[in-house]
Amino acid sequence: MNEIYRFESVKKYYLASRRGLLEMALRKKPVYVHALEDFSFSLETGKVTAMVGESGSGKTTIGKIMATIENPTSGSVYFKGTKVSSKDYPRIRKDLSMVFQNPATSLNPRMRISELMSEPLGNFDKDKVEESLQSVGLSFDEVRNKQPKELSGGQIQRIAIARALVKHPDLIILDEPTSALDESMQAQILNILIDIQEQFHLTYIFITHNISVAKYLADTISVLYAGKLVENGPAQKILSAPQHPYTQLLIKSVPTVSSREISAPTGDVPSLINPPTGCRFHTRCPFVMEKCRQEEPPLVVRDEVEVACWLDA
Amino acid sequence: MKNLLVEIENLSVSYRTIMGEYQVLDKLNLSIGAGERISVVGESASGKSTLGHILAGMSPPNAKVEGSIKFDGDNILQFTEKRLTNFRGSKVFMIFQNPLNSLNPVKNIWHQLFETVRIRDAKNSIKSSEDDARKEVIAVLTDLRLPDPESILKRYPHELSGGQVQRIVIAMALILKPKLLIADEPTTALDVTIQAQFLDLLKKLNSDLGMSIIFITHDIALANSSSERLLVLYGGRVIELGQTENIIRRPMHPYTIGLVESIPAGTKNSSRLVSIPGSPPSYKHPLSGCKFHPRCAKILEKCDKIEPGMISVEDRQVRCWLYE
Repeated sequence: MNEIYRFESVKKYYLASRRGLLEMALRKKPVYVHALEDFSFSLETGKVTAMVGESGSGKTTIGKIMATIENPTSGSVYFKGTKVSSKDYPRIRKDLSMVFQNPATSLNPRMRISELMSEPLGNFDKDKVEESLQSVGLSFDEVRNKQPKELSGGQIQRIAIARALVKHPDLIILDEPTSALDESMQAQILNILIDIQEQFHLTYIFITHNISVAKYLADTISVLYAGKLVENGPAQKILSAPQHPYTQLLIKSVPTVSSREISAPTGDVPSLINPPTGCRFHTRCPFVMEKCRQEEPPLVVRDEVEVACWLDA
Repeated sequence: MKNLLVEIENLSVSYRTIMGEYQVLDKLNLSIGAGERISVVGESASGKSTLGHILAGMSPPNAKVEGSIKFDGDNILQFTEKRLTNFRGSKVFMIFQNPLNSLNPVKNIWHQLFETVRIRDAKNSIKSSEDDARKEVIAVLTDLRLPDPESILKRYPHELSGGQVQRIVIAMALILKPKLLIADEPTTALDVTIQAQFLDLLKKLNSDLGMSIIFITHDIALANSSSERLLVLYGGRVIELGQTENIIRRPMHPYTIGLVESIPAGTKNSSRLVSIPGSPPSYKHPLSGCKFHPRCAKILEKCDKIEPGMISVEDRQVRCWLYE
């Protein structure tokens, strides 16, 4: 098994409020948002891994740590087998790129497409730019002198993907790349993503809240809830027989064209400043037991899938 | 047959701009029964939000509206501004995509809900005391399963989560008890589990109070679980209208077929997604004939010349020459 990224009990805390001199002088305790807690996970080369979860589950934080935009608070991260420290960032950044949710805000509106496309390269290399535009179905001569505002939402997202592709990375981090698009555009983008993954042997981290997109694209799925990994394993296994109650409820609450019935878990996502004790899902779980409120369930392997739940433990 | 609540006849809307006049809706006909749940589905710029705004009596100043919208027998397009003010809120209520934008950020929740009660009372020319109003508001919030309503009343919109704010907006609707609720992409800003809770709530409003609901969305799967009837808009025209279940199980218009097929259902190994080629039509350069013909796979010779009318086929109406 060949892994590109490995996380070992990674934590990420953000300061919830400003902590300046006054707060320090008054010895106020800093308040932290526990965005990611004890996250251990490995990312296989050449696979599509979907990170699924609600807002505040920590899925974007993982993407940011992978993209070296954020430093983990504690824990260790290994990239291609070597431990990452901040002086490795420039080297890692050469091997990965990121595509964001809203393409219109991630591209400079005043630059022409040819400039935007050569920016990651540092110099203009017509062959590379032409090749990556071609692989997303755009013609170089047609778009080279255009500005982002002259293109449609789907086209801009294709430019963003071509831009991520131009320096031939090993890993692309896709942060909700289709959620701002209409369905017919989404289908186009997903098809392109699959094509270029096969063509360039890429590894994807696909961050999404849409289970049907994850099902379509992913080889493995990681389900996150309130900063904790609750289920992780092959996509097929998780979607056909979800073991964690949260995954079950998540799948049931997605509207589909094949069934009209949806059911929702009660309650809201818990606060990450004071996360619930024990299992973080116990406040909304239909199968809650006394043990869940006190002890945190460990991640155990059951039927090829890692699950963190006291049920059937 | 349910009682008719809204009857839209030949509704055409165009926007006047410096660049000229753009027609956004063209001769739309639709009737909505009392207590009916209907979904309006379309891509961005298909005219679905315009339809919602016009129905709520909120046409923008540069809009030119023709045709008639009969609400309980009265044509709302001929209402005076004073009558419209009375009409909004008491008869029709609109929920927007971003719930935070529909609340005042510098007033607490109690202030805003009390204002709703006062406005309702002013319309019925009664006056309830502040204590009665508080009791009523708390009862409504408890109904909506908002935890600890007393403390929520003291908070400001930014202190609540997206799902909670959307429920505060629903609470306003519950206080005003309108006959028609227009929800314009109400769940786009919400998480899937909160979205499912919200849909449950809308269904409850519909069955308990007999409120008619228009659900505007771009997500056909969401329309499937939220409505009985489905209206598909494309380029400002109704292209398919019928029972939601029938349309989704067996779409007829090539656009609707493409829309249903473009939803990922299987995995990448089993099948490729079918996407609709091309992009939505622009209002700046109106097309001749059927608005969908440049993207259509089943194009006939007359499609780019003559625009088809609504054709009744079996259980629904379709705007396509294939079913003539």
